[in-house]
Amino acid sequence: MLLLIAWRNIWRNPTRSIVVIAAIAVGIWAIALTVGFINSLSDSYIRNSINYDYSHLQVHHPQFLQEPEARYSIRNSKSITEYLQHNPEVKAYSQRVLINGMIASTRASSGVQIYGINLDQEKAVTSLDSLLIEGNYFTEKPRNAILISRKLADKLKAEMRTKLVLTFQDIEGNVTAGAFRVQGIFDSPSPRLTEGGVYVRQQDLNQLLGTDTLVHEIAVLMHANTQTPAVAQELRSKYPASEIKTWEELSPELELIQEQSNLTMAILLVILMVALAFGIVNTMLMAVLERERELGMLMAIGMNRQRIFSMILMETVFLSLVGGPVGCLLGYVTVTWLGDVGIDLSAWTKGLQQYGYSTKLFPFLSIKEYILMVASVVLTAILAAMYPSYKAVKLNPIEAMRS
Amino acid sequence: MPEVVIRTSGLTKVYQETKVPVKALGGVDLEIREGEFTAVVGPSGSGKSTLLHIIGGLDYPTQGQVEVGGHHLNELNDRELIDFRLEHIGFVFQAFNLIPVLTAKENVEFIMLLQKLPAKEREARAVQLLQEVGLGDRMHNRPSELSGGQQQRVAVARALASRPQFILADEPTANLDSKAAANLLNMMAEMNQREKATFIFSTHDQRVIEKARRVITLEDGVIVSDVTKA
Ligand SMILES: Nc1ncnc2c1ncn2[C@@H]1O[C@H](COP(=O)(O)OP(=O)(O)O)[C@@H](O)[C@H]1O
Ligand SMILES: [Mg+2]
Repeated sequence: MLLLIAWRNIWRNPTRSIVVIAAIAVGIWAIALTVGFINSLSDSYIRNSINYDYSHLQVHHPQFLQEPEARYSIRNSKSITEYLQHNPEVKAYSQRVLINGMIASTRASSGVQIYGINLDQEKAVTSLDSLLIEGNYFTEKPRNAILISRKLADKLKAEMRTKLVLTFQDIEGNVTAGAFRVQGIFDSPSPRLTEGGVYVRQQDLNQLLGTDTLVHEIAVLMHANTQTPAVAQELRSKYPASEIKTWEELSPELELIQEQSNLTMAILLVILMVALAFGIVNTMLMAVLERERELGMLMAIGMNRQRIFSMILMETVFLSLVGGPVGCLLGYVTVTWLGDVGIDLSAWTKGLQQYGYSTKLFPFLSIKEYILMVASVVLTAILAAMYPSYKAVKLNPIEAMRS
Repeated sequence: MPEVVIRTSGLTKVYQETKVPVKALGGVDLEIREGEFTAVVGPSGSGKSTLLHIIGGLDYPTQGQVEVGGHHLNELNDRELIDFRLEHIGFVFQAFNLIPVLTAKENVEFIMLLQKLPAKEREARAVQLLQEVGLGDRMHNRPSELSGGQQQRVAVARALASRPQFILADEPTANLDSKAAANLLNMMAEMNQREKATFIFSTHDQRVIEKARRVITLEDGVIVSDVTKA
């Protein structure tokens, strides 16, 4: 019956209760939206980082990532690519010759990573062709064509067809140089590639290097990310002479992004919960003061303090149990809808893209996050109800009834 | 002779919280026996409420002893007093007796719920008592749907429901018109007979006083007369 009383007490002042329920619901809704948005941001970052930069897996010579020198070529690259070709989980792979060097125009120069690519393979793995904003994907015949990023083009004051000179060391350690003509300008969501990645045909690079046996990097794109660890494991056991890294291991900023979004989430959650707590303390305090005489009577006839305490507490829990699911539902509907249509941020796209995010975001929430939200709201409500309940318990029956 | 349920000796109450200490009771010696139907009368401010509060375990005396059914109330702490009140004393106040969100029947059942009686028994006793106080047809109404007199009847039914040693009613008719007041008193007298319940009520209404079998008159916190009708 205590439950019944608590439940009916809520509806004694429906306006006030509805305000509290609405506050709780809106609170959860706001959290759902924010968390959904943050999720979409880090998700888009990860997606971009996989689709346009690291792929799901990369294979290197164990030394190469520390010392990217031409001589650290992958052993068994033939066998590895054979294996990848026959693995049904693998969608595509791309073998690259990767050389650090300098690029120079007549006006400026810059350090770059030179990607000697196999055109079809690279297209299948990083959709490089789709990132071109000017020019074309090596469709013109002339040798020594190069693709550079918009940013690098600006830095070098280069345009389409500008002649640029690449300088680097060959496998013997001799400095060699070659002239390349800009055949395309790309704009990548990957900050790393935008900063210093240039693409040339593998044959052209091999010619300058004086060998065609080098493979420094094999990037692997999977059909589904969930298969990444298993395939990585298999590669590791099959090819212990090579280093296999997943995108998570390759992208150092990823952890940072994750940590940052968790922190943002925690801060928002705390702010909202504090606001909610204040609202609840206020409301329940009002409810207690309004019912002073009745609470005094109840204590006079023999209702003990624990029961009074739990009655007030129950009222608060009911409020949050009504508000919680309503907020969750609102949040679910909104986040699902936004997740379908996406949020177009092209107005701010410049800033975002620079940091590796997409211009269109698709918010989503995991079940775990829904549960966490409701749990924290209910917990906050209970904690916030402690003070009003304590006030109720401290009443003196005679004085309370006289007031 | 029936047993003594309440015994006070040298009961004194001085309110210290006020600027000038107020002596509300100045040495009250009193015995109430089982089955009595007693009125405590006296002008406003004579100490009636104070006396009933102390007898009812709602307040402590400044000096003197209160004994209820062999228990010395002075020795019980706040928490023990609440349980004591629940088990041993029935209360009817001047107003605000009932829980507004519960029906008449639920209000009567509520006290038995606090006493942890089984649901069947609660229900049966609530229905029976409400019928006895003449509210058989209003059991499912909430207090706001009942008249003042009807609300007080529910309060009496609730007080009886807990099977207390006695029922304390502090000016139960103060908010009622004279007809409703007379009806309530008649009903209480009937319950006194039928349920063998001991009643102590305070009043300053002459027509209510007439219904009592014993009349204790207070003036300035001391008993000035104590008359039992034959
Ligand atoms: N809590 C209190 N603090 C101070 N004085 C009080 C308090 N309660 C009652 N009194 C005083 O004690 C005296 C007796 O009051 P009360 O017992 O209420 O009398 P009655 O019920 O007969 O009207 C009065 O003078 C009253 O003003
Ligand atoms: Mg009084």
